[in-house]
Amino acid sequence: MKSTTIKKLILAAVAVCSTTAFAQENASGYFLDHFFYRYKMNPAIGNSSSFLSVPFLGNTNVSLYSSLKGSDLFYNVNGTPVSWINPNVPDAQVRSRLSGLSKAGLNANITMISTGFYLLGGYVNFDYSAKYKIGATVPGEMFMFMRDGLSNREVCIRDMRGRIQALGVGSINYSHDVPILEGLRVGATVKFLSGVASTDFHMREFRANLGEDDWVLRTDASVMNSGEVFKLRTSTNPDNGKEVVTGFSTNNYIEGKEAGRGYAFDLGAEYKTDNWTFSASVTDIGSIRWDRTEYAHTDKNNEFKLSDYEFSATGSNDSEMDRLNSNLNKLFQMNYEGYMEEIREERLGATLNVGVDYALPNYSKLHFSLLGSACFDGDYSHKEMRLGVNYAPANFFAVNANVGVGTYGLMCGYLLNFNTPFLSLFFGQDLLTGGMVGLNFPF
Amino acid sequence: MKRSWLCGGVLVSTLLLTGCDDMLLKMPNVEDNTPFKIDNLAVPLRVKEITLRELIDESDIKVVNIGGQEYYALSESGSFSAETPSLGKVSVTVPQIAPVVQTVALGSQGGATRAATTIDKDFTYSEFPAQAVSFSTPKLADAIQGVKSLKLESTPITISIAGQGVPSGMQISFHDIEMQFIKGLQLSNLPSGYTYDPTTGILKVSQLASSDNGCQIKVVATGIDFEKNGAKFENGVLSLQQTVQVKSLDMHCSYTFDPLGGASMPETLTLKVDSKMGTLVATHFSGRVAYSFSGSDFNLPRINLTQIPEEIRNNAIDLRLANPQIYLSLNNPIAVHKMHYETGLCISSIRKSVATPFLVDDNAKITIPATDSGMYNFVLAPTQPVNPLENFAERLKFIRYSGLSNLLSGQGLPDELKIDLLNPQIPAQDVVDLDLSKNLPKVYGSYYFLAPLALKDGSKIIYSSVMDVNMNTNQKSKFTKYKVEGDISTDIPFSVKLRATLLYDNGEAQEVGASDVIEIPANAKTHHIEFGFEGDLKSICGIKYEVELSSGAETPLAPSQKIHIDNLKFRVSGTMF
Repeated sequence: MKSTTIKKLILAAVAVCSTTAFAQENASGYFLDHFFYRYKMNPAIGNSSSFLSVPFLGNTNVSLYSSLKGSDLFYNVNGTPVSWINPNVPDAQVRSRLSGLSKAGLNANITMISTGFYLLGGYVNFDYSAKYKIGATVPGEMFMFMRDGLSNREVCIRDMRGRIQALGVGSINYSHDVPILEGLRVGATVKFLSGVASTDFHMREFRANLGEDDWVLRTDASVMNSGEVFKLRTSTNPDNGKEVVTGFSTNNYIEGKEAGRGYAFDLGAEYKTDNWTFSASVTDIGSIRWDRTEYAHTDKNNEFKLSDYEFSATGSNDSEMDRLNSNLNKLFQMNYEGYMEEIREERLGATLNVGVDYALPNYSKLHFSLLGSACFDGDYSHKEMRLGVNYAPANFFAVNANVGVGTYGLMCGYLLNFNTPFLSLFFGQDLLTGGMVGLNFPF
Repeated sequence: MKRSWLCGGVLVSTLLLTGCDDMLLKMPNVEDNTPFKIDNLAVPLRVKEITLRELIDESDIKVVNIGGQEYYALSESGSFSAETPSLGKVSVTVPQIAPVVQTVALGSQGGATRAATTIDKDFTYSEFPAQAVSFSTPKLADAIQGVKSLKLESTPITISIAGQGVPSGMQISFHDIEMQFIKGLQLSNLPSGYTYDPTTGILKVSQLASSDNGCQIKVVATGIDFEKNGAKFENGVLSLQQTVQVKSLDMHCSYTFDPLGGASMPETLTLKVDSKMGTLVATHFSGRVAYSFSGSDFNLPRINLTQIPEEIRNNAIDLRLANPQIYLSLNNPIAVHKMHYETGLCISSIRKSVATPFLVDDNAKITIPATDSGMYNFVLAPTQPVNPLENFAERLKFIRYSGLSNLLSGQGLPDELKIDLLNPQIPAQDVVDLDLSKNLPKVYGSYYFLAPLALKDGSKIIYSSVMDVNMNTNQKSKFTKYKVEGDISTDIPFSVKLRATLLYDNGEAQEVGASDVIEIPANAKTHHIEFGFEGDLKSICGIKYEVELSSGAETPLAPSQKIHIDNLKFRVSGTMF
């Protein structure tokens, strides 16, 4: 089989798996002994034995996140469930919960194949994974607009975003003890990124000045689309002959063409002394450069003014209404600019992890951990702090339970890891608490 | 592949729904309790100027252009023509004039000797018997009120004087004849030795060729002046009685004796005077003429007012014509004879067959002068129009017609207007040398009745209608307040009162607005209005509205008169789902 064919198959698999991924790279396993995939969170953390993952089933991670909780959106007023829009819900309560930028999305990391073993006095991991990011941000102004309703005021909604990203990531990880300082271990991962698709919609601003004397509306939005999985569907505007975006098409995604390349690095260190273990890492330092990127945008100079339209009190207003509707549509119409001349470079979104673990002096099977993470990914940035307890009663079994707090609220998690010389299994969840009621994954 | 995407989508949706199912089960009526609020939202709208042209169905009313400005008006136009009087041929066959015979004495020849072979002797005779000449014309045309003179086709008049029974050897000749002839004749080309005095009728002939013991006086009459001959004109008949008489004549008698015979020159001689006069055929007429145009010559069509929109035909309206004008344009075909003609004018409003006439001030006549053949334009109006109709602007004479303004006044509009030209006539006047062989051109003209419409002070147009309203399109939506506000400027000479009443499904009615009536004064300048509805509007099934237009000034109505609405805002409060 030719290498290009293999490559295509792999990339196609990355694309297909985007619909079937259901696990998450679990922070609950960061401190858990014999959890093979800790190197993905800190490249300095090696394993005590070699492993080979079952292709496509070895490690499938999905994180479904949202900064919104059900209790942010729905309230109980006199025994009646109502939404945040209901005027009987105290205004201050709603604003305190919904006035910020809300984020929601799904990140997935599917390990297709990975292996780890000792080499050159250290530990080496080879890994090929598919990474997906689906996310959206909704500014608080949007919720407030819906709550406040229509009145004569200025409505400004900024930074509403949505994105989809699919990458194939091949990585080589190496970690080694540092001889000059006992207990210190460092590691690094080099990642070779192969882009499949990346679509980013960004409405920078929608401003509606609903004044008493005139209504003025402006938009500033754009969409960038890289890769062949999705294509912007266009049609010609008969008014000016320009191409405008009418939607997306997905005709070519199965071919799995590589649409971008890039590199990234993970750097990490771990220091153990007595019962304490300190660790820190920065992952996903790098970017991907997309070959061809379609670009479309609204005309930010375009302004819709209600006063530009003159209605007849006695005759038909059909033509004026048609003109109004047409120009209102133009406000949100994405003008298709074709492929950008410059290369689009997209950062992965580095994550900083800092952890500390303390094992009981007299009972090392039980240790407590604190992990702080911060992901620097623009509007999708998030952070969390988890306090966990890890218990490894036997070599073949370990369990972690944790609680935490972060951008998405209170969290709890667990991970069960079964590790035998021939087979290792794990499952776990990092859950939001007090958020979406009854949220669960059929995993 | 699309199937895979579909499966993926369903799976993700399942995830989310699974996560939220408890909540959704607990909150089946969340949507019902989460209305989208509309809080006194003002929708500013720019509205085109509303012109009367958009409000009035122009198929029912005429629009006329006066001085570049369009107005709603009653108007009617047309043309008319009338025959001028025909005097007809004037032809008189003069009856035969009875000849007269006069015996004249030649005297005794006793003194003559036989030695004399020829006697030449001159005689002077006078006072021949008179010959009566009389004739009458057939009844002349009615237009002829008097005849002064006629020009005639060349009419020969011959007076023969001849000796009767003149013996052979006797020759007589005549000269220095003086006759009493028909007075007033115009004799043209009198031969040498002829003189004629038309005043006295004395015709003198000094030399005259004689032959066969007689002579003929031939003259040609080309005219006759009836003022000089005492002709009578009665009942359209011109009568003339004159005499022809040889007043005196000189006769030379030459007698040559026959040496063999024993005859002698007679002592008397019989002279016969025979006058013949041809038919008098007039070519031109001078005299007095008067003529009334009658019959249907000047009949103008009536102006039907039932075509005016019903809204302004009702009895509450005292419709006034804003400086109505009637234009007349007339020619004068008889100006060539220095004649003028004239007509009166009366417009009547007719209600149920009862006519109310409106006369021109001081019953003035419209006189078409004799300057030339025209056209002559007249405008009859209460006040002289500043911008007369272009087609009538030249040589326009203004005649005040105050009553015209009130033509439509009264309860409701008249059924029709009737325009009458009163007694159009050529008043009695003298004419000189009217050519009888030619027909005079027709009198023709055109008229344009123009009456811009205005409402008399106190007049009202009341219009009422019910507008169906269906507020139940979305049962969940609830609108509690509608309000319309704006600043109105208008040059329409009406004040407007608007009264609206909400009609509910259960038959109740409720008047709308803080005040019962929204009032916009005439010629308002940025007049602020507000009206609206409050309460539960879902059970409204209709809005009854009454519009009352009241006139405060008699400004004519124009299609361009407009209502301009600034700062128009529709305010609405309520909730939507």
